[in-house]
Parts: sequence; structure tokens; C-alpha cells
Amino acid sequence: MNSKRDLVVALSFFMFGASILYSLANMQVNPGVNVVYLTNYIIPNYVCAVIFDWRAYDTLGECLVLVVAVMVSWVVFGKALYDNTYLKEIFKAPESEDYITIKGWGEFTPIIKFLAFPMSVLMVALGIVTILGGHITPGGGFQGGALIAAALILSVTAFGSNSPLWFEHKFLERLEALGALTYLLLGVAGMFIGGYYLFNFTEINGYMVFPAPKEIITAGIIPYLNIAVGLKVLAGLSTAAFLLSCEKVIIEKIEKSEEK
Amino acid sequence: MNYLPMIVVFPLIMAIIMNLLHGKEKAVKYITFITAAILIILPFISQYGYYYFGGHGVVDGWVSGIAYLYNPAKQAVIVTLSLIASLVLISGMGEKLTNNMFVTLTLMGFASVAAIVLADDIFNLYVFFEIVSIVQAGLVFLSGTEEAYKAGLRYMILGNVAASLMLLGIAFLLASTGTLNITDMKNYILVDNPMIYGGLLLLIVGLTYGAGLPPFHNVKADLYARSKGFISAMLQTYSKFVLVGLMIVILKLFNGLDYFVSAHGVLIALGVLAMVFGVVMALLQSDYKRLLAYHAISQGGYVATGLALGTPLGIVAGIFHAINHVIYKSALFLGAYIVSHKGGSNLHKLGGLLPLMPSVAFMVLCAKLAISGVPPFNGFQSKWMLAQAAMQVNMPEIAMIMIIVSIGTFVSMMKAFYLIYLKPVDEETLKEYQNKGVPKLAVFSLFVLTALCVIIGIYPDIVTNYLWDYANELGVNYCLK
Repeated sequence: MNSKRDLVVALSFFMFGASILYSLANMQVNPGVNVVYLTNYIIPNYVCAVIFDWRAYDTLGECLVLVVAVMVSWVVFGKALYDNTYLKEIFKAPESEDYITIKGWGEFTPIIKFLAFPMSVLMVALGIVTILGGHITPGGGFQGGALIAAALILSVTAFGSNSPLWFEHKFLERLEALGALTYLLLGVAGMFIGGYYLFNFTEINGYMVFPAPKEIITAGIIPYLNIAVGLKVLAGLSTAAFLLSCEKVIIEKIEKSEEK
Repeated sequence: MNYLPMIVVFPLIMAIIMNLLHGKEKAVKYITFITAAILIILPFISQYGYYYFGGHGVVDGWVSGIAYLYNPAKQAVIVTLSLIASLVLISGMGEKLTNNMFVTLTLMGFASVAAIVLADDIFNLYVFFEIVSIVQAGLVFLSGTEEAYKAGLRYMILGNVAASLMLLGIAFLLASTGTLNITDMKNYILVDNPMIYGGLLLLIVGLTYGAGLPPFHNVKADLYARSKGFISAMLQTYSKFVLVGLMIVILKLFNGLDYFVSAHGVLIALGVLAMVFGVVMALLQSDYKRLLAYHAISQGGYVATGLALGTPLGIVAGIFHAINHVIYKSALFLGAYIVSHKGGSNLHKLGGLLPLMPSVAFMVLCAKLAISGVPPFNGFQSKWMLAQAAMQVNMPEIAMIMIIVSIGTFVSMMKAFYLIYLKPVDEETLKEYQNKGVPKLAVFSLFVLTALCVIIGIYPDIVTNYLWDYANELGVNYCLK
């Protein structure tokens, strides 16, 4: 019975893979709409122009994927509609050998502690530069946000909960909501000014939205969108890392729900 | 000004604000009622036609940005969706525990499904498809039992595989046509390019996952069965409309092309298999919610079959059945939620609830008759149209399978009705039932849905009139010889 089942699964996977490979082998690429993106100049960084101007609404969707993922991880760790009896059992279980926490990893050598903090400060600085210069140099909100979150995670890994770079989880939550809300509301502002959602406006009543030298075309709202995405990504990724590493907060949350 | 993007953006903004209001129960409650009212108004004040995001319309002959297409058929779907979402949100407010995450995730899911239905851009559709799959897992996690966690985790793992395959399919289509806009893509599809076949295959994988057709039907049924009643009502609404949205995209891109004739066969086979598997599994269940969950799969098969026929009548019947189905199946899940307040959902332990809540029993009976396709309820109208559509393309065997599956549905539904409401129980259990209250907001939602069942059943034209134009545009008349 079981071997027959395996055989059927193997055969169907083989057929599926073969048909995908067959269609890949006959690939004919049509440049299509890319020509439009390359011939119409918006800002120096073309990738950023595609992501934040031509297809800004997709970027909003991708941000929201991250927002929802972080919300669902909060739900998994006890921010829920019903009392999490199942979670209580797991987190109240006594620590055993295979129960991994940051404490269980043991101390690192001094060299890591010595390097981790300066390294993470540098990474934060680089991340801020990447976010702010996203519209002229390679980079953007996603990359810069991920860099800052990586700095935070590096410092937490090296120092545990005594990390010098440490944000409260409530603060991170607000930061994330702020980023996502800014993006959404900038789109609504575009709707009122230009008539279309996420319209890239460069001035309101004669005031430049983003001041730029005269010889460069102004980027409009793109830098602000970059900042919003950066805030959101940095908060989202660090919240996820925070949730996975810090079971103290989760136990506190469960105890609170028990009191009710 | 055109308020079309507000259908998607307003619930997203509200969802993020709700996320911040953790612990403030009263504020959450009032804002939820206001949001629920606005959700129903928004589809009516939007204008028909194309909507180009960021003001990037047609440049050099290509649709350069992201576009939405709004027409009466999509309006009918979105009005139903927002109605169910509002009623579920209102029912959820009857819970005493903290429920801001429930509101947040429901609104997120509503916005994403509306975006999938509206989108005229295939990558935008994929982005929101991914949000829906995460939201569904999150809504199941909210139930907080070990089984719910397992079901959600399984759904997420499979979701990663299926959604990334669908992304690969979209990449195939983008590579061979050079555009992501669906209306534009249709003009540039090369008939003799095998890459289009690959793209179609991978889109169908995404469709089966999003809609719970075989081979993903077990995971989806598990998802509905493990969550709370009103959450299941929302979950099955999502998957029915994801099915409609994706199927419309597939039909729009490929209907009428030479090789789509065999793909029709595959899609119809998936629909028929879902129909038969669903009802057979439902007949075996002894848990009320599991029974309803498998019926949701089975009715999804009806919708898929109708749409996959690809004729104008088939498309109208499919979308109409999807709308009817979410109405009566949400009513049934709300009924299950009310019953679970009295004594769980195990059919063998329940019984004798008829004298305690006669009105609820009557309304649930109406919904049960609607799902089995008994006149004058709405299920009859759409099943009748589906059978007609199958006869029109000369496939009477499909019409016969539909009728047999309907009989199976009727049998299992009546069995459940007898076991819950009519079966005699002893005095002690009755007293125990009397002490437990009934969630009033859920009863209100149930009443609205049942009234809709009867109204649409008597006047089906109020829905189908909206659907014909778009169906004539998408559909291709053919007949098997």
C-alpha cells in the first residue's frame, strides 16, 4: 500500500518537473513593458523608480505581507482571542537539555563581544544611509531596514537580553504600525492631490515635497516611501527575532491572560 | 473622485489601527461596528471601469502601472464579500475575550480578497494571494487549541510550496508576454509557445491551493473544522472568492485559445473530484463542524465546475453559486457556532435543542434546504443554472453527478439536523443546555443571511443581472460533439 503510494507520488512529481523543465527549455523572452520603464526617466535609481513609482502598490502589498507575518507570529505567541491552554503547557514546561534559549547557548568568547557592538553600530549607520539615499544610489527601504534589523539581531545574539541595542517590543510594534500607516496615508494623499492612489506628487501649493538641487529632477514622495518601508522592515524583522529569542515576554503574556 | 482603491485601502488602514488598540475592548467594539457599516457602503460609491494606480496609464502602447478593473459582476462579488465580513465582524464582537487581532486579521483578509477579485494585474494578485494565505493560518491560530495550531502550520507549509509555484508561473507568463497586465497580456500570448502551457499549469496549482480543490482539499477542510464557527464562515468565504477571482483570470487569459480545450478537461475534473470527495467525506463525519467543512469543499467543486465550463451560462452559474454558497454556508457555520455554545460540536453528544431555540433551528433548516438545492431557496436557482450549463455543452454526466452530490448533501444535512435538534435527550442535559446563553449578535447575523437566502431564491435576477455582461465578455460558446 505504502510503496504504491510512493510510486504514484514519485511519478507525478517527475511529470510535473519534466513539464516545467520542458516549458523552461522553450523560453522566449519578450522585453515588453521594461522598455517603457527604461525610457521614461523619473529618478537616477531605476530599480527604485520601478518599485516605488511605477509599481508602488505592489511594494505596499509586500510590506503588508511582512506586517501580517509579524502579527501572526504575535498570535502564535499568545496575543489571541481564546486562552492559549496549549501554549501554557509548552512554555511552563521545565527546561530540559534540548530546550534551546539564548541562555542555553552559553557565553561567547570576548572577541565576539568586542566586535559585535561596533559592528552593529556601523551596520545601523549603513542602513540609515541606504534608506535615505535609496532614490539615487543602489539600495532602498527594504535593504536598509533589513541591515538595521540585522544589526539588532547581531547585538542580541552576542549580548543576550543585556544588549546595548535594545528596543521594547511595544515600541517596535508602534514603529511598524507607523511605517505601514505612513505608506498607506501617503497613497491617500496622492489620491486627493493627483486623483490616483499613490500618485507621485512633487509639490503642494508651490512647496517642494522633497527639496532637491535644481539640476536633478525632484524625487517627489519616493524618499518618504523609502523611509516608511525602512521603518516597517526594521521593526518587523526585529520583532520576529525578538519573539523567537525572548520567551520571558511570552510567559508574561500568558500569565496576564491567566489573571483575566 | 473615484473611491475604488478605498475598498482595499480603508480596511487595511483600519486593520493597522486595530492592531494598535490591543486591550482597549470598548474602543475596539465601537470602531468595529462603524467599520462594518462603511465596508458595505464602499462598493456602491465606486465608479466602473479601469483604475490606474499612481496615474500611470497606457504609455507607448503598454499598460505600464498597476490597474484595477471594476464592473457590475465584480461589484456583486465584493458586495457579498463585504456583507459577510461585516456580519462576521459583528458576530465576533459577542466574544468576551480580547478580540482586536480577530478584527485585524479579518479586515486584512477582506482587503486582500477584494484586491484579488479587482486586480487586473497578475503580480498584484499574487502579492495579495500570499497575504490571504498567511491571514487564514493566523485566523485558525486564534482558536488557540493544539489542533488549530497544527492545521494552521500544515496550511502554511503547503502554502509556501503552492504560492511559490504560482509565482514561478507568473514569471513564465511575464517572460513570454513582457507585461503583467491581464487585459494586455491576453493580446500578447503566443499560441505556439510551451512557456504559456507551463504558466497555465502553475497558475492552476495556485488555484487549487487557494480554493481548496484536490489535492489540497484535506488541508483546507481541516482549517475550517478546527477554527471557531464564525471564523470558519469567514475562511470559507475567502477561499470561494479566491477561487472566483483566480478562475476569472485564467478564463480571461486562456479561454478561446486552442490548447485550452484540454485544460478545460483538467479544471472540470478538479471541480468534479472536489464535489464527490467533499460529499463522501462529509457523509462519514461525526463532528458537525467537520461535516460542514467537507461540504464547503464539495460546494467549491460546484463553483469550479461551473466556471471551468467556460460558456457564458457556466460563468454566470459559477459566480452566482459562489455568492449563494458563501451566504448559506456562513449561515450554517454561524449556526454551528451558536450550537457549540450549548454543547460542543460532536453530533453524538448533542440533541433536543429544538424547543430551546426554535427560531435558530428554523433558520438553520432554511440554510440546510438551500445547500441541498430545494426550491424556493437560492441554492436551487444556482444549481439549476449549473445543471443547465452542463447540458448546454453536452456533458449530461456532469449534471447527473451534480444531482447525485446534491442528494448526498441533503442526506448528511438532514442527519445532522436530526441529531442536533430533534433527537430526544434526558432531563439533566436539557437543564444543562438551558443554563447556557445564546450569542445574540450571531443570531442577528444568522437572521440576515437566512433572509438573503430566501430573497435571492425568489428573485435570482437581482444577482444574475449584474453578472451577464462580464460573462458574455469572458465566455466562449462551444459544444462537445
